[in-house]
Amino acid sequence: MKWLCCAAIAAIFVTVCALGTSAAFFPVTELRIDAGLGNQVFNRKCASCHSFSASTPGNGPSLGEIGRLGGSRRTNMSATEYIVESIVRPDAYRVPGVSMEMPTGIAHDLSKTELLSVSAFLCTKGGVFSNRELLTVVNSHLAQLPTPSALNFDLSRLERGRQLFMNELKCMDCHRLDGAPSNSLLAPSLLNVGMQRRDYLKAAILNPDQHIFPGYEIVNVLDVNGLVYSGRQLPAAKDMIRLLQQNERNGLIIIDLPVVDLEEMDQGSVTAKSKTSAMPKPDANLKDSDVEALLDFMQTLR
Amino acid sequence: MLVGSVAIGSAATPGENIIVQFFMRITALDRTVICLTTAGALSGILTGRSLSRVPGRSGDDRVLPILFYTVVIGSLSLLVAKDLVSPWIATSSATGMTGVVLQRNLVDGFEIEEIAQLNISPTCLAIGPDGAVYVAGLGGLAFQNGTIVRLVPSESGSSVQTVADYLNRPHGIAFHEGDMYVSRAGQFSHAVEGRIVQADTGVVTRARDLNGDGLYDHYTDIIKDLPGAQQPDGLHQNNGIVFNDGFLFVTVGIPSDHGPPLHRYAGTILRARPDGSDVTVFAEGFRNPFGITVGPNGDLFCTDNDAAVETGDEINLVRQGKHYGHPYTSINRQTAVSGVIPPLLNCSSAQGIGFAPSNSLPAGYDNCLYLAAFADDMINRVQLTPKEDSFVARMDFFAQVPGVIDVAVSDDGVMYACSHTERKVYRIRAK
Repeated sequence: MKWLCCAAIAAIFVTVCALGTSAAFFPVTELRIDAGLGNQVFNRKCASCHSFSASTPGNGPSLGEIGRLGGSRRTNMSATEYIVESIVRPDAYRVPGVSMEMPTGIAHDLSKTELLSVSAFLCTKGGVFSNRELLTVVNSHLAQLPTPSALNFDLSRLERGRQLFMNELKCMDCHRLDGAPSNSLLAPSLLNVGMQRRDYLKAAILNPDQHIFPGYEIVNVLDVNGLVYSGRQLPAAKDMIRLLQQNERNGLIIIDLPVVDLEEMDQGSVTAKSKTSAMPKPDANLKDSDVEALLDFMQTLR
Repeated sequence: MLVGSVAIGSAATPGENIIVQFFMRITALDRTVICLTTAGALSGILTGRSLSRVPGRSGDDRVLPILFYTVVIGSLSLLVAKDLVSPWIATSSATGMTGVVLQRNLVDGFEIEEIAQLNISPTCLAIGPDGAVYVAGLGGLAFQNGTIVRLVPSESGSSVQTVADYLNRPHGIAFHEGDMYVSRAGQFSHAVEGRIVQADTGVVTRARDLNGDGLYDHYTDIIKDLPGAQQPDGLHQNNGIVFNDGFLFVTVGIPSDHGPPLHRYAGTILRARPDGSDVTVFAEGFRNPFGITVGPNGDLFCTDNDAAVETGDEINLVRQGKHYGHPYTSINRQTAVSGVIPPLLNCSSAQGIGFAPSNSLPAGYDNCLYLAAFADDMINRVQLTPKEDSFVARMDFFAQVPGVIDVAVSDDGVMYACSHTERKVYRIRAK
């Protein structure tokens, strides 16, 4: 009898071991919290504006310590709650001093697992999180999430928009759509531009001078010989000015100028910010239907 | 009971859990696994016998030590046993072998045999004009070599011979008028004036055997500058090719997950003459079309690997001038695009695709598409019923082949399939 009990316990033990290690009996479920997946989602959806470095914060706030700082942004709100709310309803609270508005609707493009995972990933930046709290918070936010307005497109208009974007309007001469390292050096990458509001995109296309993306202003300098240089100003060594230009082959040109060789332009500074955008205003003959087609296409970039 | 327990325990490591696999009939028990299990069970008996006389203890006190030692000693014995027996139970590494009929899960009335173990990881196969099976694959330490082997199966044993080499990343192979065509690509980026520019490395190469020795010795890139394998994906490139109606059709992928095509031929099926002239976009809106075949009535069918937000891979009926939706339909689930052609079928995994012509396989199995579902480890049958100017497709299970990447059916009713992960070629025939 004892032997039987002993053998039975052994059998149960090893069977549990056997089954416990088997993905066949416990398949990976659709719903999971996976910070590694969260990192991928972050790179795909967030990294064009947010970084984790305090020194080069990007156009959105740096998220390097968001797992800790998130808990102090708003009263009675834990870091987990703050992070999830910021993703699902970014308009609920805007960090002061940040000019770019985070687009709403990102949560609609994420599966629940992706939302859980990217939230978990951000919570680990300077903090910790509990699976149970995260799941509760995400569930309550998703329950309140309004049904997204469906995006309805017509193929011929999308293809017309693509034609305008890539060929006729030459958007890609400056704005890149690939993830290559230099894709946002000269002009903002439009990899995820479809997340932005349509009316904002329209205004930015039709009146580029009124919508200069922060950090991409054109700077003019005048050297002692009377030559004017202009371009995007980049960080430079002390007593130097560094400008970035683009040549006719869309190559990136770096111009380094010693400050001593430059004339004073503006209130003691040798540089003057241009009021016009590097982006040309579109042709006045651009048809309304083409603008709408272009916007349709740009909305699919996300 | 104890013996059984240790047998279960011996297989408890993930991936070698034969008890689970056996009951699910996922895989056949090969010699290695049987020896491992037997060794584990025997060690369990010995351990149990010796520990039943643990000195200084009696009765219930013996339960925990026995349990502990059984697990520990059983596991250790298992490792020792594995090393002892592995040299003489290892599978032969010979490149050709007699067909070994396997106890695999497949539909009734068919049998599956392993006919070759290769030293390349296959990516695609095709049946040549001589009736031999040509398998293209990746070799070398970093999978950097592209090799094509000719496999001549016979009842007494298959012969395997390398017939073309140095053809990097071959993902498609086809024959036309005695010449072999290989769709292949590389991966390289140039730094040009501050920007990273990814090279368009994709080509279709025509290989000819001029001196008649069976080895291909004259090569021409008849189509050049296709997008090729590029980051961020690194896997998508020009893939399967097929001849139909005197034209060559080439599948071309888009390098990004769900971004728009940045190259004029990305995400398309191209059509060209056999000499590579008159390259035109035949159909577009694909993400990474992989396999392509000629189905009933000369219609073209291709697979497409779809983006993460969609329900998975697709089988498409390819018609001239049509757009199949990518990337617009891959944005999110709330997006609807009018004017695009929906897939014939959505499935979880779709790579190579083959067609069994009329009267090749037994009735009900001929006139069907066969799909290599790499991630599902199975070949699926796709039955087509004409409806208006298209088809209704219904898919069901055909055979279980781990890591299957491509499948082809000969006119006389022999199906060949290659496994990328196992580096093997299988033959499936009606019994």
